[in-house]
Amino acid sequence: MKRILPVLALVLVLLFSSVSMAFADTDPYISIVNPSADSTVYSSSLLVSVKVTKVETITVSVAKESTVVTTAAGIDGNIETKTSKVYTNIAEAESFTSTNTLSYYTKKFENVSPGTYKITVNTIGGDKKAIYTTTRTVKVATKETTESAVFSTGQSGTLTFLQNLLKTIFGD
Amino acid sequence: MDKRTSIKETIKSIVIVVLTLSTILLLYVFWKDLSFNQLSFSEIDLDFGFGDEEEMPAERLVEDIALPSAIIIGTGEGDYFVKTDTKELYGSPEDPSSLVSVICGFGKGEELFIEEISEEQYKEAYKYKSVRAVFNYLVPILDYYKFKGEKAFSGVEDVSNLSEIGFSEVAKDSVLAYDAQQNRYFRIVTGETGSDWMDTFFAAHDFSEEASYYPLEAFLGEGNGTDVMVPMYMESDMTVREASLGRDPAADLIRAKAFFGKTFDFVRKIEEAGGKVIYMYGYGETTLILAEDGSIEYKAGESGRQTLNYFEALDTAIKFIDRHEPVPTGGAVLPGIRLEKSSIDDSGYKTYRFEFSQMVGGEEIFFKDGPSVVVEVSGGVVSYFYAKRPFVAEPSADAKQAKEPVFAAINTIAANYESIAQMLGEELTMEEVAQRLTSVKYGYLCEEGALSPVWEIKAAGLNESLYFDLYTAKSYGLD
Repeated sequence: MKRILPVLALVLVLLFSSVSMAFADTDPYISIVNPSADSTVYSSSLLVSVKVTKVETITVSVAKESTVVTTAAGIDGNIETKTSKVYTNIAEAESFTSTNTLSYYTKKFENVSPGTYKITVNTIGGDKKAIYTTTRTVKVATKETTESAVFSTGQSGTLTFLQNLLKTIFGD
Repeated sequence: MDKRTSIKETIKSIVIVVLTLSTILLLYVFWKDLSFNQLSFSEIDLDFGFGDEEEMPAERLVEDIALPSAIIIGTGEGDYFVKTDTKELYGSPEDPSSLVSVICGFGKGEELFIEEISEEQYKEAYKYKSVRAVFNYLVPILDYYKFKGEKAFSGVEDVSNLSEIGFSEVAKDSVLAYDAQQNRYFRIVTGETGSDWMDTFFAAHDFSEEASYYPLEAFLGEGNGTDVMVPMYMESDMTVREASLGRDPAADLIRAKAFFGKTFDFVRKIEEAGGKVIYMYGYGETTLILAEDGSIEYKAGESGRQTLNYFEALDTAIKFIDRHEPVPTGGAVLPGIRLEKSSIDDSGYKTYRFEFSQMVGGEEIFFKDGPSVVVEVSGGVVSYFYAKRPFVAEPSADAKQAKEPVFAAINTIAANYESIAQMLGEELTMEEVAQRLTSVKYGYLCEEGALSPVWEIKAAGLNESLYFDLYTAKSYGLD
């Protein structure tokens, strides 16, 4: 029993450390400043701006979210439907190395269709592998282009016209 | 006796002719209400300054000089294109589809609705597909119509000065205007003026090769930074160019005669030990200083007695500059000029002060010690003139043959924000420094015999501009 306990403890430590590595921490020196968290971008292009406050190398990718529905027969013979999210990169991941203690990585992704996107920033360690992962989700939608979206119409225009007409007749 | 009578008659005839001519001249002086300056100086004497009339540069028009400082084209997708070399895009008044024709001609013969709008509405409208001309100086609309001999539309006095004017697809039947002096925003509904023109403009111009600009806030996150436009990624072939500001003593005499005209014979010359030369008429009422740094400063003793409007005064200033331009030698070029800033002193016969920026290869030249070309027009005559005009050599043989990426503007600020904060005398974060920035531009810095490609950064609370190498972000003068 005395021998089993240390071995068991060692096994448990190894097990949990490997599990924890599967969920990489976010980099405390990385901040995705644009787009804002939980925001919607009304445009067909997406500006990504990442603040880096350490001399390090990152890779940045943007992937579009889509939903995949799969059906399969369960153990009991019933048909089971599973819905899962799939992410497809819209461009090749780009690498950026900051040379100061404060730098910004910026990139404009063009021709972005409406939908949900995930921005992923991986911090690259000495062994060229990702040691941290920082992500952000953003929605992209189409912008309305109508006058009423910005200006009120009708009443004030008529009022100003009348004011100008009166000024013309009676002077200032 | 007959001979004596004949001589007397001849003398009488000569005296009568002289008196008649003097009377005509005096009548002319009183009729035109001229001052002695206007009779004496180079306004009527074109022989000096240029050995040959063919060397004299073609006179520039107000339309060539009174250009927008920038034209901002909104794509409607959150990014913008910013053109600082605006002449081509602004167009010519002869072209009815040009931006300048549409701006100057809007509202003719139409009933207009003029609506004051909020700053939020104005800024929101320009987030759509749009074209906006930005002037660093105030454009008095009424004076411009008078200058062009056109009738202004009713209600234009509400928008007395223009600082910005443009169009947005979200209000195709309108012109949007901003008056910085009153800090008021307007929407002028003109009928169909905006809609076809915008479509024609975007079809005629391809901006795909231009750098995308974003408001500084977009790079730093919402609530940080300002709406100062900053390029995201940019390439350039700007390279260091030699620029001579030295004075050629052999040309001093010719230049001085161009200012004093026929009264030059009564002008004293004072040479100081440092190399400065001062020409002085009378007891210093009129002086011309040729400084050792290559600058020239002229002060007239008297102002005139005419009241000119803004554009008439600007026309006077431009003609004066044209008549006193130095002639570059050795294949060097003289930079072009553009109106940068203006102010008006309404006392007396009105004094207009015009400051001009200089440009070479389409890029602005910055000078650390203030505006490089200044003209004051007082009572209709030029009362003050200052110019520092470099002769710029063509790019050297080992200059860049192709464009290469510049040091990104946002990272230039990031690399130097602590120094900028130090200049502001406060401990500030990057975001706090960005909130204070009022301008981020690129161009050439004229210093130590060369034009060097730089970023120019201005901040609220700083009297001077800051300069950083365009390709390395190294600061000029900040430690």
